[in-house]
Amino acid sequence: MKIPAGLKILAVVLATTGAYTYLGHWVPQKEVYPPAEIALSTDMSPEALAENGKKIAADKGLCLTCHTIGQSGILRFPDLAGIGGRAASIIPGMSDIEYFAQSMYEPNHYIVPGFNPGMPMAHKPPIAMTDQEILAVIAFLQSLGGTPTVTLATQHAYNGGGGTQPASQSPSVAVSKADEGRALYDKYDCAKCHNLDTPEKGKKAGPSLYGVGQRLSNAQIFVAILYPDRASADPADIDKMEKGLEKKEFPVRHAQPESADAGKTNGHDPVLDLLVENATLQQVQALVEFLTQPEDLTP
Amino acid sequence: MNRSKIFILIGVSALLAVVLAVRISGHLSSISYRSPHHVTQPQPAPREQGLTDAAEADAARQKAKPYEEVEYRKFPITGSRVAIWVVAQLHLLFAAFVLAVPIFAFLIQLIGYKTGDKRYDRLAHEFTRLLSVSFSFTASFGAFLTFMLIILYPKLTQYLMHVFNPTFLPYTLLFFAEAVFLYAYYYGWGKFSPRVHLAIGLALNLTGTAIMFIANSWLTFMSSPRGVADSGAVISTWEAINNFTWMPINIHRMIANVSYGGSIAAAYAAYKFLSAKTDEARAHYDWMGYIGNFVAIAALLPLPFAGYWLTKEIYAFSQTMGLIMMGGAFSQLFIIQAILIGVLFLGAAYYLWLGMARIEGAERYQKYIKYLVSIIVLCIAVWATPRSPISTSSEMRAMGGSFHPLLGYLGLMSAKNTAVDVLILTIFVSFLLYRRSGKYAVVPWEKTGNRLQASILALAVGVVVFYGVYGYFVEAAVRIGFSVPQVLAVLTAMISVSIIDIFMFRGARNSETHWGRMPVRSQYILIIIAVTFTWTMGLMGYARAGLRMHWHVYGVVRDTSPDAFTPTLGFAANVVSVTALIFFTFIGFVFWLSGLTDRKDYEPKEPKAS
Repeated sequence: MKIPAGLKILAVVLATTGAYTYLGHWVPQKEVYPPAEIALSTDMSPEALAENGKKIAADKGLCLTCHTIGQSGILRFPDLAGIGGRAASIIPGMSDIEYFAQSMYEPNHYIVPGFNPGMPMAHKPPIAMTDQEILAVIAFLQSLGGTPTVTLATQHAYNGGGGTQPASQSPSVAVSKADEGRALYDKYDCAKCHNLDTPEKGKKAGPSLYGVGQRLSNAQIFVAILYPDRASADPADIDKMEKGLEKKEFPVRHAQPESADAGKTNGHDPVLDLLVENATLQQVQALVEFLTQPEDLTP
Repeated sequence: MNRSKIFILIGVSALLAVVLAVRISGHLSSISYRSPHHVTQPQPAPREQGLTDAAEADAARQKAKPYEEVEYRKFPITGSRVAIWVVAQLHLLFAAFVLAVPIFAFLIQLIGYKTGDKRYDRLAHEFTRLLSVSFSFTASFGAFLTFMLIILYPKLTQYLMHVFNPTFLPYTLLFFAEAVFLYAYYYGWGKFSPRVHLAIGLALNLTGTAIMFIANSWLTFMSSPRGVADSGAVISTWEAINNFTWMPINIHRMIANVSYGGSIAAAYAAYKFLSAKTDEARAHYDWMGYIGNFVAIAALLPLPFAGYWLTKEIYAFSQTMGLIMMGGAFSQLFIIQAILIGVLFLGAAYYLWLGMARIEGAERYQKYIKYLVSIIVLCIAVWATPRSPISTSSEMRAMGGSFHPLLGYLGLMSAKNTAVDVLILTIFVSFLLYRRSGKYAVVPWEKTGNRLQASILALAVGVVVFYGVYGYFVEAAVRIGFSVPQVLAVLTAMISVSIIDIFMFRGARNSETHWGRMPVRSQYILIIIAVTFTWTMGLMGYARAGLRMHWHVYGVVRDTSPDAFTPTLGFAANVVSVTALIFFTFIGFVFWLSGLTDRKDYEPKEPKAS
């Protein structure tokens, strides 16, 4: 009896699909669930906190996705074995707690030699650890080659304590304002005329903004954005910047009077402008925050 | 009357009185209470009144019910996630086919126009025959997917529509344009001047590509969001579209679509070959299958490089996501992917070697096949070696961990990049040998040309292996950059060797190719290739969506549904297999429908003479 071609083809399709289904079941199976919330209490000892920190590091923190403990050779990210014993001496003048905190809140601030930047901020999505969970992970890291000393009451530069950051503005707030500034930088298309990742002007019309925080004060940068004609004496440059900003509906101001009317600048009083247009002020502040953050934070 | 009769009379009377009393009391309790006051309407009993009051209160509560947005709805039997998964995958498979066929049909038609060979024009027309009903299925599954997203994931869908609302009108208008160009291209075949018809084909391709680019922005945004604040508020729609993985996915899908479409077209040719009744039909479909397979493999060769770019951008967006993909929860998936791609390459090469038997003069190259097979199998083995092999506890203790002391080094990207690049070059050489099987070069510099080609290939392999080995001795940051010279070496070798080959065989003496003289198993290889492609696409869809873990939009919109977990590879394999079988059922219908054109017209049977 001749079997129709269609049936033979069906048999081949079923056999092939079946083989791949078997292959899919043959390899080790892993089901991954969303991270469980671990309850931390203020009366936990450092050792207990470290124990919970270990769970958080392996689960919600995703630390062990990238970092190894006790491996050597070809590694993509630093191995964490013994980190508790050496963290205090990695950056002179910085305690181990401050070092760990900086590594998690501002991971690209210090990159271990031989490795690339790329670690995400632990307090932001998709990891989004709370300050308490970060303290627990710090306790765990201290326990690797050292003794955990951290409790939930421990303060560092990023949770309102002392350290290298000014107390008036916690780094998590500064970073988020810088994020806002980054978004505005893109929104107003500043990259069209300014380089940010190199000190060279290159083919761009405007000066490079690389390290502008080292060259100019915050106030000078503030004025340069709000009053482009104070940033440059070249009318062509001023015209380009103003036109570019106006196209993006940014409220450009002129510091120099356009008419002979004394005290008036294009019909506006600059001081009143600053008082009235708070939204513009906020935006410029965010831009300044973004432009003055350390170069390795600038994407 | 005596005393006994009196007692009997009293007893009966008492009994009757009791019965009467019971009957009267029962009757009295069954009648409705009537108020002593005069009423015009009957009053309900307390129980009935109570029921009425409860019903009225319920109705009042329903009317006063506040509107609450539902975040998720449940799909019966399979659950919402699997339902969306299957429908989305089916839409993608048909969309890939519908976008791919016009690309290579246009190119084949162009070859026919340039060379004047009518066979190519007829072949392109035959490929296009598969398009019309496939287009309908694509649109139907797309509409089905849209409705299911709205019903089952209303909040997520609303958010995505909020972000991408400027793209929906262009998308819809492009669909109308696609329909116009597609049907004009197919039904207008031979009815316009060749240039006009080619222009319609080009417009069809551009429209289809634009549609794909728009749709890709939605799904890539979910994996690598950009242009939105941490809260999800939109900052820039263009940035949301032009996110990290948008262009890499566009390029990867464009190339993969061509490869996939070629394989389905080749499977159609295989089906027709196996059903053919005449030698002429077999010859025609053998040739068609060869062309389809050639298109599939030609596009498959650069596909890993597009995949590398995509992976690079995933790492650039989030190193965590990249490492979950390659070294974490999805690492075993890429071992399966290696096996699947290995099957594709080996199958395609085997088809080519079987095809050499139909070409006179191919015997001189058959001695090289065993070396090519060995290299291909070795490369696939290296590619498929996991970093941590499946081991028992005692085996792990013996190894001192999960990392095999010898084979573990093959589980690293340095080895895998090297294996893939050498594999691609080997398949390329395979095809080169097939191409020159029936040709005898007449140029005086043939020997020099062959030596030059061999040197270029050897140099490319040398560069690839050098960087592969060197990568073990440098830091990760340096090693990652080595894939660039490796890829460049392979691409340069393929292009330069092809150019030399074209010039070397210009005016060559050709021997005869006996189309149709192919063993039947070659056609089943084409079917296996098509199934493998389909399964690979399903698996990679699982990888892309699963990398988001418990996020709908990574880092922006959290998945809080009951399905907010990554299922096992085994479960994914079940879903992918079921989807593939559904797809082949539909595509079987497409093949059958397209084959009706060749069937004789229906003729009513003559009535039997009485």
